[in-house]
Amino acid sequence: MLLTDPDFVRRLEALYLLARKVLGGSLQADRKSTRKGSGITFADHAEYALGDDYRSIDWRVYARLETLMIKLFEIEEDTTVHIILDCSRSMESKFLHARQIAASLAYIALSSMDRVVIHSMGQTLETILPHTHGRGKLMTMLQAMQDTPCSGNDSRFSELTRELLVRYRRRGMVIVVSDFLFAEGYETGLQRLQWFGHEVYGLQVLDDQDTRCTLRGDMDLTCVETGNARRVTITATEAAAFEKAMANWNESLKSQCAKMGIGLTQTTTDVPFDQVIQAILHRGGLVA
Amino acid sequence: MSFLNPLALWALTAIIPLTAVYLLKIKPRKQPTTALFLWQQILSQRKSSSLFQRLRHLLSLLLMLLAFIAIVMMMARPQLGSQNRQDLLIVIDRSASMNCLDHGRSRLEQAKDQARQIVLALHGRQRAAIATMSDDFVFHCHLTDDTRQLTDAIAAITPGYTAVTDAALSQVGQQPAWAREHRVIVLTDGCFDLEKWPENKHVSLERIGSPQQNVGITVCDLTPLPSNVPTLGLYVQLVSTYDQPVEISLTLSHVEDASTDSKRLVKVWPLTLEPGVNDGQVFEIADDTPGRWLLELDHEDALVQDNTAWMVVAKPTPVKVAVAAEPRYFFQHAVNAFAQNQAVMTLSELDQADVVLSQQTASDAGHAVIFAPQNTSPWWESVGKPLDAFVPRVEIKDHPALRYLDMSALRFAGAKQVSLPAGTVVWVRSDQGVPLMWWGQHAGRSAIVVNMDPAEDVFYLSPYFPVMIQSFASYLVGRQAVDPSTYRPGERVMLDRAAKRYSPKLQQLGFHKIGVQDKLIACSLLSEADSLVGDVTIEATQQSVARGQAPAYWFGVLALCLLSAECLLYHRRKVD
Repeated sequence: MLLTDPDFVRRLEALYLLARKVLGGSLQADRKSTRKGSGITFADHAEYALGDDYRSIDWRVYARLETLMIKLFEIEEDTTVHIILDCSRSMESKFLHARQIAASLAYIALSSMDRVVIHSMGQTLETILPHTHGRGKLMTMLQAMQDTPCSGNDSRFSELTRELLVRYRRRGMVIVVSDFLFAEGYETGLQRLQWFGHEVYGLQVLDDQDTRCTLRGDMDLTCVETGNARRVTITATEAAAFEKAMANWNESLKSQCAKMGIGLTQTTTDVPFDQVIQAILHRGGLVA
Repeated sequence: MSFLNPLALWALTAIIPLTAVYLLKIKPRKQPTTALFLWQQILSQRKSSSLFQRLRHLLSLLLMLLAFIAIVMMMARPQLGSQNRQDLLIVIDRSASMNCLDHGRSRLEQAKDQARQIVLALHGRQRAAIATMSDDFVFHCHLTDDTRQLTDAIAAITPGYTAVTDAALSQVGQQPAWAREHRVIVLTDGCFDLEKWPENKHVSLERIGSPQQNVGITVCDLTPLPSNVPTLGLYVQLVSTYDQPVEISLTLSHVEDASTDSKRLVKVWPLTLEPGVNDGQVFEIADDTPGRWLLELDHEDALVQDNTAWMVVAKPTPVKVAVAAEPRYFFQHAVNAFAQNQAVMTLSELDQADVVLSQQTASDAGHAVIFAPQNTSPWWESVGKPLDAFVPRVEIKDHPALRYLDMSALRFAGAKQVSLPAGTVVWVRSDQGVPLMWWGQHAGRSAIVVNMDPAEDVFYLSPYFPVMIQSFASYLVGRQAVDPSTYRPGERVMLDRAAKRYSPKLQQLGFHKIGVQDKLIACSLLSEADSLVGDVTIEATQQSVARGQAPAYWFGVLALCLLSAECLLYHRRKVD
């Protein structure tokens, strides 16, 4: 299925409506800023200082305390959502699924008037979609993702996160869509993102070939990314050991994310992308 | 170059799977993976911590060490048992009982296998000879250490149908001239007279086969009977090795056409055989057709050969007898008594006669039976006074011509003193030594002279008078001994009685035509010892003999197995 397919777009629209219903009301730039200013939601009182807007003086307080106090309101501002899409060769079998999920999240973000930047993570960090704002950029976003190849070799997650932080200093939200099968590990990259104040969310996409081993006999196992090979004889014992190691790896990712307060969704290509998004919306933590 | 065991070359086909294993080893399937780092992690953990991995290396080392040791042992050519390597004489029993099927194979084949195993164990450092015993003792290969020659000799041994004779057994026990230190190994089923087994410390017995269930014909005869109607008399004796009585059918057939083996079933007798040797039975058949006859036991058992008896009923040729004695009536009547249904004798003219019956003197034609000798003749020199009372005494007991005569019933009335020429054979004398009955030969003719006057004491009316004439006439023309209806293997057939010429020993069962006149005879197994294949209680000698392949051979096989196992278990695996 193409990402620009009308049917796919319709499914994205349905997801957006669901998001509005679940989250209640407008999603328009509804992320609270930590700065206080001229919003409409009362936040606090402050002593009047020279230069403050007279209109913000709270005369009722003055009548009671004979002190000039001004009302502070929360500033409501848009945020930048970085979607990092793993485009390494290990994602080849699940690339369409990963792109569908990433496009769904990007669509919801664009509809919420957030800024969206989509990155491809391969050997280097490339920008698929630069800073984009508004629903009008939907097709641009979908076309860009459609044209993104899956050709990256040897993705080094931690280094690429550092590159992201260097390029984009403003805090925002970082959604990593990947299989998280990084030989050097994922902990450093996730910690780095979080340490710089980003809201981090992980979306692990796997398929049956990743989790199960049906191979038997003599094999030259070759890494799809690096091309490194290893000659092995796979018996039932080795296959079971691999499946166990894979399960441990995924469990470790889950517990590590929980420990760091990072949201994580683990899914497989068997689950349709809209069901994945629905589950995320219902569970909360990503959009709300 | 030749191979003692060419079948072992089939082991070369193992090269194919070994090569396949090797090729498979160097060309494994390529398989892309998204998590090679996990595989490396697993394999490194197994390598570093798995006991199996460590044991696998040790196992490989152990297998290689064992293979090396096996090869060294093979080169050292170890021997089992003592170093004293005696010369061996391997004697294989090829008597009829060795044709018995024992667990699907004949005992002879089993004995040959055993002999091969012993020969294989010689390893070229020990000499052996091969012989067989049955009705005689025959060497098939003299003392040699050439294994090929010995195995060829064993392979050339064919089944025999004769019984083991005492002569053959005695030769087994004789010290061979060619061996200073020797051992005789007899491979036999023990179907012979065990009392004749040679008591010799060098002779050991290897028992072949086990008791089997069998029934067989051990004695049979088929001969025309004197009767008003054509009649054959069948005498048969059967044996059984079954523990219980067994029901069988005995069939008698006449072979109508020898070229096509077409048979005419003449008679079937349902019989119940008791265990062991059964009593002989006589049957009469209203048929006297000469020619080939088959007596068959319709029963499946261990030994097939003793279920059939081949028999021949010969067409009798009457002896032409002329009468030149008085009174002629009694002599002609005596001849006519044997001229009826079986036509043993027939009256003839004097010039065509085979035998002439005369009194007092002999005629010039044919052989003669002469009563009451007078004067002189070529068969006696002089005749003296009549004898007083005397008692006849048989000089040659069991003489065929006297077989049917009762000497105690003959009075030799009118006997006189006689003197005989040299070369005369006296059969009966008086107790004073006067010849009463003798046989002589002169000018190519022979005569039997009876020193008695048949007219005295009315001997003409005695039943022994015609019997005497028939016996003597048949003897003179060489027909007094009726050919048996069947012979046993190993027997010889008399081809010319006068010249005492015999056929070679009969070896094959069935009908045969022998001699220049193509005389039809039959040969049947008829051996009680061989038919009783289940009643043998012989025990093997408790003296072991090396058999089978040399230990070096098995070390070689072991080395091959170990190397193959090491290749499959260790090199076959790619996981380091």
